[in-house]
Amino acid sequence: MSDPSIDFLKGTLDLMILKTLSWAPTHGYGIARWIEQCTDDTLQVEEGSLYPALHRLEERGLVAAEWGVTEHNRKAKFYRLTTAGKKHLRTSHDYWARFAGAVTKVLETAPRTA
Amino acid sequence: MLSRSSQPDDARVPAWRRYVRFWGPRVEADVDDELAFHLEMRIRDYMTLGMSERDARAAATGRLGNLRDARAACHTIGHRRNRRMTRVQTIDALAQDARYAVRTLGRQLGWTSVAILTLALGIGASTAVFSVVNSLVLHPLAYTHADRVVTILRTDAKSHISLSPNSELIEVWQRQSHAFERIEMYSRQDRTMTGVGDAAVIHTTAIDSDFVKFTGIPMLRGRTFLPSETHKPGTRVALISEQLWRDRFGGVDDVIGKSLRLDDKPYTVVGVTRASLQIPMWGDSRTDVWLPLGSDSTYGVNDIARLKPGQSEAAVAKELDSITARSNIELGSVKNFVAQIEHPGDMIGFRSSLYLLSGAVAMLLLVACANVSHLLLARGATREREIAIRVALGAGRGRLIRQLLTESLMLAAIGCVAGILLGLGGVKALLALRPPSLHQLALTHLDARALAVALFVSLMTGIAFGVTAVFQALRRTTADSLRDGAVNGAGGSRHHRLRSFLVVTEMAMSALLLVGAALLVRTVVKLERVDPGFSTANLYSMKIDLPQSRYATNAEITGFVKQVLAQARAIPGVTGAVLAANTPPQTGFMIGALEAEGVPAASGTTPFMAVNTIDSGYFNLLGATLRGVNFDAGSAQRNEIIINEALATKLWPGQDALGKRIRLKPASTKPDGQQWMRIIGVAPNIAVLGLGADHAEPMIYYPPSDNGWVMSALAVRVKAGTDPTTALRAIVPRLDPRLAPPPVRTVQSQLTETISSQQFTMTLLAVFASLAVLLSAIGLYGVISYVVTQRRREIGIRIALGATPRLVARAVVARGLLLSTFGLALGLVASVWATRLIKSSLYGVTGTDPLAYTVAAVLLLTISVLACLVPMRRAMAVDPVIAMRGE
Repeated sequence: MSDPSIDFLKGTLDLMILKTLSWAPTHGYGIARWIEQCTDDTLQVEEGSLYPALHRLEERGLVAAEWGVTEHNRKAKFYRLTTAGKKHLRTSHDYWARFAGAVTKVLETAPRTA
Repeated sequence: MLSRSSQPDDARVPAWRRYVRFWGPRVEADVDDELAFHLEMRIRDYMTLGMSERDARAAATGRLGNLRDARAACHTIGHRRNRRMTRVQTIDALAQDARYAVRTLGRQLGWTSVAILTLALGIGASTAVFSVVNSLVLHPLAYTHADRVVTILRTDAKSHISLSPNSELIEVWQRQSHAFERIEMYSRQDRTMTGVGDAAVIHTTAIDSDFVKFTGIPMLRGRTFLPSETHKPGTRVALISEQLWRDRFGGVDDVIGKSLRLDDKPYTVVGVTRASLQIPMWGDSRTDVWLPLGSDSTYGVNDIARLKPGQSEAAVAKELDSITARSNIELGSVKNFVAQIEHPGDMIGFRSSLYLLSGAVAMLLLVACANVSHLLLARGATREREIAIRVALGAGRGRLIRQLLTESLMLAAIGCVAGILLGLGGVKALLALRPPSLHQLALTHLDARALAVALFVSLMTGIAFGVTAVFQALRRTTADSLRDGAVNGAGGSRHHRLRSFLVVTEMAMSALLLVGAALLVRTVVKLERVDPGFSTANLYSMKIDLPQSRYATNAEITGFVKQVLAQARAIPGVTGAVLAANTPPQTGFMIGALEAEGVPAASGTTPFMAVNTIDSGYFNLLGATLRGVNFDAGSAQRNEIIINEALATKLWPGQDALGKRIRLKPASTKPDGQQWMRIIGVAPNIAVLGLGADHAEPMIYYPPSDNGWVMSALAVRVKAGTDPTTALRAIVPRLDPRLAPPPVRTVQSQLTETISSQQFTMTLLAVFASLAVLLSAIGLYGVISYVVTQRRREIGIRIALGATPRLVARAVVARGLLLSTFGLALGLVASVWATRLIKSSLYGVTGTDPLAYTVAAVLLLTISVLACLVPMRRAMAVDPVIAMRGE
């Protein structure tokens, strides 16, 4: 499932969506807000790509969607993680961790002069 | 900047959108609602932070970025997903239908097997027969552009006798006519092959260097002849057939360069031809070895040509005739023959029988289809209640129809598979039954096109009547059908009418097939009873073919054959043996006009005369009584001949032919110098052409002479219970070890073989007719059973009112007989017309033979009564109390 060739940013967004949904089912806006809050608003989700990404995940069967009602009694489309989504999240998470670690190592290691 | 109208807002949604949502996928609406919710939430959050509504909206929209693109992307994904889901759902539903169909069909195993067997019979039989017709008549040659491949013959307009043009004429045509891509010549000859296994007489065909290229059939191994190898006497190269390669050379790869001996001359194999490389069928057209044309002495040639596209055959024939007239080639008495373009498939004598069988098997297919329709309709009727319940429970009509259709299709599919298997078996059976004269049948394989047609017809039947049954059931799925013992409404009688119509059709076709079969049985019986004009008991014949290379003159051949005769007479059990040019049912022919002294040129005489050269003991040995005098040693010198009764009656009706004189003008020589020949004896009509309609052809017998037809056939009579075959065959190789043992057969078996194609046709037609009758009986049984079931209450009332079981039984049988009689009458009327088409296949009976029609009628009516027996019993067993209380 984890495809290293996948577009870096899109892959990251997918991963963040899946992670967000792993806590609890929520709607698109909820996902956007959660990511913003987690990163103290440093990472603003590009909302234009959030929905296509969600729909693609739905198409791939990683998330499932259904219409529900919010706490403010407003009709909204709620997404939840499917079993396949959970599995995908696990592998992507590992991959991402290794990848990020490697990048960090490169960034933090200074050359040793001979 | 985003326009406001693109922002979803319930108040602004146009009314028509609701219909879009209702009918179409919800993709657009869903996406818009979702995005609207997002914006709304963001605006609310911004406003909680203290922004004005205007600013909040602007900020929220700005944050979303290019909304249009996002929407479009979501739409695309949504639609794609929808399509995929529909597909999955459809497949799911189909699988469910299929499972359901299998279960339903399995539950009614009896019904299902009858339906499948019926379909299989129709498909199998028709495919097998159409395959034979296709390979023999429609596509006899596997050449490229085979539809334009023709043979040019020259035909006598009066007698319809056709001959192959001679090579001189073919060459002139080839040079001067522009209608052909190419005209090829070939020449057939039997030779003795030695050097590979046992000596054997094989068929050779001499061809030009570009013949193989002309056919478009590639060589299996090696090469074809080079231009330098043809038309050059003494070239000793040969191509062998695939069959010979396998049989005699064990199919080895290094066959090229090996040698074989033909008539004692060594030939080098340079190539192997494919089994599909055949020449048009003139009797036996198998070729074992191909030789270069013109490398050896050549007998008569045949031609095969490919027309250029778009040529009219009549115009081409006319052009050839004018070329012939302009050329100054000496054509003798065949000068007035006209060119005739024939397709290779037209030359099969058996063609009319094949067409007859095709027609018969097509009818069988129709009867089978009618019967399957019956079965489907009958089942539709019994399932009315099931369908009604399912409709009441909310099953959609479309779904119901689709599901029942799946059942019909499933049935048809299983029937088709069974039909294909049966067709394969059928082709094998046809090959086993085939008349010996049809060697080419061995190449028949199940034809895909024939199969496709049969499958199409049966599938259509399955669908059409499956649907009819469903609609009839649906039409009545009002509460009516659910009520117990619902009386049949209008739909029921319509249904019944359709089924009665089907039964009548089936019966009519069965009657037609029965009449045809009966006529052919009568024909074969008559043919078998034909008096051959001589006694065939314990009579054997042996034909000796000697290679021209070592037995060139009549004297050499006669010398050898006389030795054979002497040894044959010495075999224990042989009571007599005699020499002749031919023994029945073979004969020689002479082309030329017959002239009788004192008789004005007979207008009806053909330039084609059966002739034989015989020893004086011939008639005595055959047991035929001769009127007049027999030949003696001086007969040839005195120009004496013997004719048969048929010729005597034809030339001198009511007079005695003895002592009269005739002469023949052969085609090849000038009329001058022909001797008058005196008739010294009149022989009975001996069936030299076999037991066919022409068993009493006019015929002339010549005494043996040094320059006449050489006698190389032996007729041998033995004591009852003796089989001289082995001893006779051993004589020739004993006298000349380089010769193959010649074939020896009983004359009776050869005579029977001459009517084998009629026997073949008769057997098949009888089988088809029986099957059709059987199927019609099943159909009739179904209809009558249905009537009895539907009228249980009526029958019960009648019995309660005092009708005896006998009366009830009579009423049921009468109902069945009414249908079959109606069908029978139609069938017999059709027969009167249809038998005219098969006139050429009949002998000794007319198309309106009363016996055949009576037999067909009695048989069909008897079977009909039998088909009514079971439903009749059921009707008689009706208990009025139970029947009237309701079902």
